Amino acid sequence: MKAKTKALNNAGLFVIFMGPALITFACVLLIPFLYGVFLTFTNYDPIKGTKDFIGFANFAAIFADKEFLGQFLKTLSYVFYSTVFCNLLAFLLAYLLTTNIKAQNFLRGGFFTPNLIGGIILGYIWKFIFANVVTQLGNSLEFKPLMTSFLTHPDRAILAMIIVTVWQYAGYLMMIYIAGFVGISRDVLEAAEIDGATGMNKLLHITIPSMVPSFIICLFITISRGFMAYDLNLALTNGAPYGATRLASMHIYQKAFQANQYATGQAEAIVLFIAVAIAAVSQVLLTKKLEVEA
Amino acid sequence: MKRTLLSMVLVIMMLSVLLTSCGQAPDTTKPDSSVSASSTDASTNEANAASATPADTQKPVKITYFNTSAEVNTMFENMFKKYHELFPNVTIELIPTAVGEGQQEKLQSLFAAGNGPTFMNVDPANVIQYQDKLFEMTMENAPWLAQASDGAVEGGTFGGKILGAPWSVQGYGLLYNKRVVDKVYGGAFDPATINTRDSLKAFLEKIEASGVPATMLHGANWSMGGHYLTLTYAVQGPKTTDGTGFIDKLKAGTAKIEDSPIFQGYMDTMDLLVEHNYNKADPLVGDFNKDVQAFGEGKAATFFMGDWTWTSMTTLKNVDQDYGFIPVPWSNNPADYGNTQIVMVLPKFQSIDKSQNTPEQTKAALDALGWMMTDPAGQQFFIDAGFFMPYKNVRTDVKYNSMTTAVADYAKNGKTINLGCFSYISGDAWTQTGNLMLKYISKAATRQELAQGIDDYWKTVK
Amino acid sequence: MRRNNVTTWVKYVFILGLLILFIIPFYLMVINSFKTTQQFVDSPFSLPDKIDFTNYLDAFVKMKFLNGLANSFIITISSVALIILTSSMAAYFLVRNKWKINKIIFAVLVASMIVPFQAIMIPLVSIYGNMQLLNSKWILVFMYMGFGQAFAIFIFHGFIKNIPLEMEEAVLIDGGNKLQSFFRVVFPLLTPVVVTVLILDVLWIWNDYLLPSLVLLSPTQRTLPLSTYSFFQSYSVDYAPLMAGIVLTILPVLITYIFCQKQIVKGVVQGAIK
Repeated sequence: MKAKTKALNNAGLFVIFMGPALITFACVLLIPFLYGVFLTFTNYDPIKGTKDFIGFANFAAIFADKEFLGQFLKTLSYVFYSTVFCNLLAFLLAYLLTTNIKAQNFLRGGFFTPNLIGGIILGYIWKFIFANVVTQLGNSLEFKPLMTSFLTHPDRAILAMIIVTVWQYAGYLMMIYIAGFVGISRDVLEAAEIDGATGMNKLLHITIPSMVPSFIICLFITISRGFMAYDLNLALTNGAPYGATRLASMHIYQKAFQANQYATGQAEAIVLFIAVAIAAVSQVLLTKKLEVEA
Repeated sequence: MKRTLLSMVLVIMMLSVLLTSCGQAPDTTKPDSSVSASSTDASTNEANAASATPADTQKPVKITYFNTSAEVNTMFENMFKKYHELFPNVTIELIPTAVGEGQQEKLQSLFAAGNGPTFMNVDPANVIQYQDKLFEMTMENAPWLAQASDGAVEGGTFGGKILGAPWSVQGYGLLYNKRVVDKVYGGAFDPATINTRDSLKAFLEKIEASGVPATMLHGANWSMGGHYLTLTYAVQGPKTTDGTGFIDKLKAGTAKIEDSPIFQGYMDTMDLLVEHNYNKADPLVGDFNKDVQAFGEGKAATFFMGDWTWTSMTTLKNVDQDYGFIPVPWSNNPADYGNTQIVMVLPKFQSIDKSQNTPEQTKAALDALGWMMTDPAGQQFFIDAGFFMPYKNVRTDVKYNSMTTAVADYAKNGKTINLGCFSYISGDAWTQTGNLMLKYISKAATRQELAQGIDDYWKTVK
Repeated sequence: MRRNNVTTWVKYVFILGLLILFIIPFYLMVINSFKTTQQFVDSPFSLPDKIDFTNYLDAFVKMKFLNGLANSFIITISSVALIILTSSMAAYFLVRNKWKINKIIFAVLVASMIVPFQAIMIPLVSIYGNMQLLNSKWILVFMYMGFGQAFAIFIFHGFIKNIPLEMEEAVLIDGGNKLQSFFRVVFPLLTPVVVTVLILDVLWIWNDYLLPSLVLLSPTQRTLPLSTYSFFQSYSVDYAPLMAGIVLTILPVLITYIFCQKQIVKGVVQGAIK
């Protein structure tokens, strides 16, 4: 009898504490996600009202779609470069801003500012800068590479997106690295100094290994956000020139809502999810392994 | 304990309601939408029959309007305010959009979400896409359509049904700045003298020799794909079916665009334009403000664009006011269709939804539309915004801007290209084939690759 | 010592140079927001001839600024408050009850963080659309609650793990129930990490574009990021009022940031340690 009341009591507590969180989570994320997986096996079209089971046809269509594959590769390279440069710059900034520098808080705050603003707004600001300011600068300096807009050449437009991404996230990642640097105990560093460790050695053998948790977080953030980038893509290039800068997310959005191919778009989204999952998980495993080895 | 139990019950109830509704929704989609469509269909007809009784207009009704002509959102807003003053029972809410926002996606998500607007100003391709959901207008339920100019109602007729009311006529071709060109020619230049590619070439070279870049191409896919490339379909013949027939052959793969002399001709002309392009150094900038400003300031003598350019021109200071149109010839035979004409098109239509609105709402929208299109008070808003309306009862004393006047002159002389097939070209087609055109004009693709890409695109369209 | 001085100098110059690169876009945006489109196409660097607020007035009216501001405020504040409340409770329960099901739930929550929004978007719109639930602020708040849970629970979970049990036990011994012990003892201790979640979620929701653009259909419901689209015309962007509109949009966040910079910086760093 007592056990029964206890179980009931526990169930009650479970509902009170977990109920709201789980209900919203299930209704907004879990159910739509599972339903979305189901839709990839149908010819779902809300305008025509069809939803018949068609097996793997949507996935077959994706792998036959050279354009999507091309855009997927482009997304991969965008994710790769923005991850590398974001983290390099953030690490460097964090390193410099934890060495007894004046006005530390002001500087940290300054570098964090771009994070206050959403991708859409950032995209407009930078579109204006690339299209008007940079070209004007190029003309007055008579420096040829800057005279034409960055946004009119496929490779340079991707570069522009990487630049803005680095600008946007470096400050945020810097904060995480700062936390990592602050967390390294002084004793360990001092002990190493007594043992005769020099700056570079210290960095390689003590600082970086103890920063592994920060690396895991930062890499995770940049990789997953990179794959999902949409706002910035929309506002900065909107695919221009000639669709060369449509990253995976934008392709999915347009496939579904512009070309009416909801089910194919959904299947592409699932492929994107698998890619993010593989990238994120292997990143975490790899960095963890480094941590163990070091 | 009591409280805990109560909240537990409540939460479980909430959970089960939510779960069942979540689970149910997908299953009911299909039958539900078809049932509601047909049932409203039937009741709409009843409403029409009863429309003579004024009683049903007495009830306050709120309707929504979806606008894809983003440059005149304010015009519609003011128009609806006025309408509400005149007919206090009807409130029209404007759903404004902008091109960058993805208008097609927005409309689609509205319909997909069961929130379709009551009536809308949309592209002809949308009318075709949503034809099952749209209200059929007839001369009985919309007698005001009798005021429409010849051929205008046919433009809004799809599959034998009038699904869209025309409201503006637009034209495009090679706009020219009269001040700049007349100066080079030492007197009034006659655009009719340009009727072959060679004469266009001589014209461009003459202008260029005076030190002014001779033309300007707008590096955006809607201009290059939606407007320029569409010419190669439309000029296949003067009838709409000539153009659509050609597209059907491309879809079926029984024709290749490369083999069309018209395509080759237009691309030869394009090469010529590219060579004299004001934006030659960076052809894909595609900044409409910049281009209009440069053209208005006389930095380029001609501009492949249409009379809608005027709306943007009026926001600028110190720009020229007098413009005309030159045809875009594709061959060296002045008699060829397309060489002496400019395009005239009904770019947008007003349509009414019957699938997701009540019959009262549909009726209110139909009444409002009649007022907008044919009542002098309604028409005045369009006239003030510089639109040339295809209705016979429009005031005749209106003086239009130079661009619209030039289009009207071509129309008067019957020198227009029928762009009817434009209705069958979706936004997706402009973007996709327009992107290929952008590659071509920036020399990132050869003409062969362009032709191949166009063929490939059409084959994917069902 | 001398060498040290030189490196310090290099360091400062480098950092200040970078900082200028980081800040200059804002500067350009502000100076150009006082010019006409024609002027700033011609000379984006020059200072405006005079401080002219025409663009601001134009933007204020066109984007229905107050309406957008109110919507953004209501949506952001309600969502963030509800996320913090529900997720801290859930995280507490997950930490304190090491049941098998709780472990599974936690694993699912963490795994869900790598699901891209794109994989949810289409079914979400179709499910809620079919139930006629779109076009309401409150549904959007509900959705933010769902999307915000995983991250917030993850952060709270990490923090609560390190709170000793003894203090709660004191409350329980005094005859209080679990709810009381959570709200009286645990929740106050969470303040630093609440600040972290608060900041990151406010920034996320305030600036979000894609989700509100799918859910909020009617113009009276629009949030500030959505209203900036009113400057996009059929063929072009009306840049001058757009710049002013952008300044207006980021102003509330910027002002808060200037006043609470210390707490915000601390909060973000705090979150990163977990």
